[in-house]
Amino acid sequence: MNLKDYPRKTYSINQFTQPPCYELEGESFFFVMDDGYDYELSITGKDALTWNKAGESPKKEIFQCLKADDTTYMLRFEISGSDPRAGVTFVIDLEQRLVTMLTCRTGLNPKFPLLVYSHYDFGAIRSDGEALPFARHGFTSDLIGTTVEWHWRSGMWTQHAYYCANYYRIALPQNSLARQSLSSPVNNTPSSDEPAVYIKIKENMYFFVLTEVHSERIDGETNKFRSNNMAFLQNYDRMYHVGRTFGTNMAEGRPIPTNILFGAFGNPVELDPAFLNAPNPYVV
Amino acid sequence: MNHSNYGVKYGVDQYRFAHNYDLKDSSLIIKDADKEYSLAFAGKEKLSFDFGEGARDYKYECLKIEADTYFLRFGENVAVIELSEGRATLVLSEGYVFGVIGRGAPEATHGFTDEMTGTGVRWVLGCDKFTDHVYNRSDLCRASWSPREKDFVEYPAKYVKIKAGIYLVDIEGHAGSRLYMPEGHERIITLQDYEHMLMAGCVYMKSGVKTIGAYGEFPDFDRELFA
Repeated sequence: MNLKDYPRKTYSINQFTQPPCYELEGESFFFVMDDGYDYELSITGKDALTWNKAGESPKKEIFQCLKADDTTYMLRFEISGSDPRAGVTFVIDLEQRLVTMLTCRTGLNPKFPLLVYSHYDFGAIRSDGEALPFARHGFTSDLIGTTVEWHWRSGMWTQHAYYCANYYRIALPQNSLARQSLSSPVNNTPSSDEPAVYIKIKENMYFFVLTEVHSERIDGETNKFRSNNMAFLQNYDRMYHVGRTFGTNMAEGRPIPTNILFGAFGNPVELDPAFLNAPNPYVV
Repeated sequence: MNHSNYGVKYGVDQYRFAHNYDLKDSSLIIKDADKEYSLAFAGKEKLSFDFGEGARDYKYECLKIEADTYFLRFGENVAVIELSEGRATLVLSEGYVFGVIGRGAPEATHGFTDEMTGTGVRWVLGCDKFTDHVYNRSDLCRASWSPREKDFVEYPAKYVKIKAGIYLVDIEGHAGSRLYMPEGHERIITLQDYEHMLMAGCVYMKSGVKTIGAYGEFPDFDRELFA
């Protein structure tokens, strides 16, 4: 049998997602956060946790967890019962005892209710008998100038340019299946530029987060893919990332919440200077 | 600064996944028709392996290929632990052991297969580092390594079916020189997931054993390679 023809599922960006990680089961964390609200997180099963603001009652959630290196985890869950939607993603860095918390929400913009808004908070992991670390993960411009090709599934890759600290842009190469699977049926945007955030986790590891804002504002209901927040925990020593989405797709005219885990393998790429140096049409 | 790089910190193991510690502090009994084997994991790095002749301690590395399937290397030994169906394969210096996990009677186990014959696949181990495999017979494989990917050599190979879409492939033989491959390469054992097109495994060299990881592609190989 030629296993090229193995009857596998249809994948978009999630075929190369690394396997789920269950090893935090039984662990409990106390996150001391810079915004002033601390959190407790207890992993009670392979995909079950409880969490709460310090001093409040624990709430149960279903989570997923991926690893970007031996000691750095991306753990995500949607806050059940939240209306409109809200989701939390933690980057848990056991090597440095640091944590980054990304909270995403929809429903905050009356004109564009599916637009995803994000909030970032940084903190440290409390450990009995040890002083809290003073340093934090933090926003960075380190990645400016990075161009990278990400391979998402067999035959499908995209090219990212991290050209400034607040935006990124993407190219879908001609011979990649990305041309067919990621090109929106309607795309009236003048460029692929979307807002992005870059956070340094440690040497050669970054948390890169983009939000599809312009496509939502311009294409809106005509587009199957609505506003989406994509978070990538990128390991530049090994040139791969793990990540997740928090967004919405349209199916039969109805918005369907999406929470996709993904992963990709990278390599350096030289991009056309005309693409790299084109002005960002969304900023003055 | 352009952080993209060719994986200079690593070699053939560049795309190896993070180590997995799901099995830490657990114990497994693996039983085939003749014998019992036990694996006792003491934390994230050490295990004790006992096959009835006294336990021996090893450092281990565990890589996960999908939700319930693990590639485990301890010393020069390999184990594939498949928890959803309760089966395991051990690749020991004495040979292959196909067993069940737990103390029940051995029922259906993993086993050698010819299902992969006719498959040609590229495993990309890092930037510009890949190996092309053409599984032309149930006991042979034609393989090449970048950057000399056209130079296929036929090697003895063993193929084991773990479960639907997941196979263990064991290829023995020297890969040659001037390749993106450790010098002295003698054997490569890979656990391959054809659903996700991911691979975890290890290469054996004169200097030791190194774990690896890869993603898969399907180039168009010359039909003659399958003969």
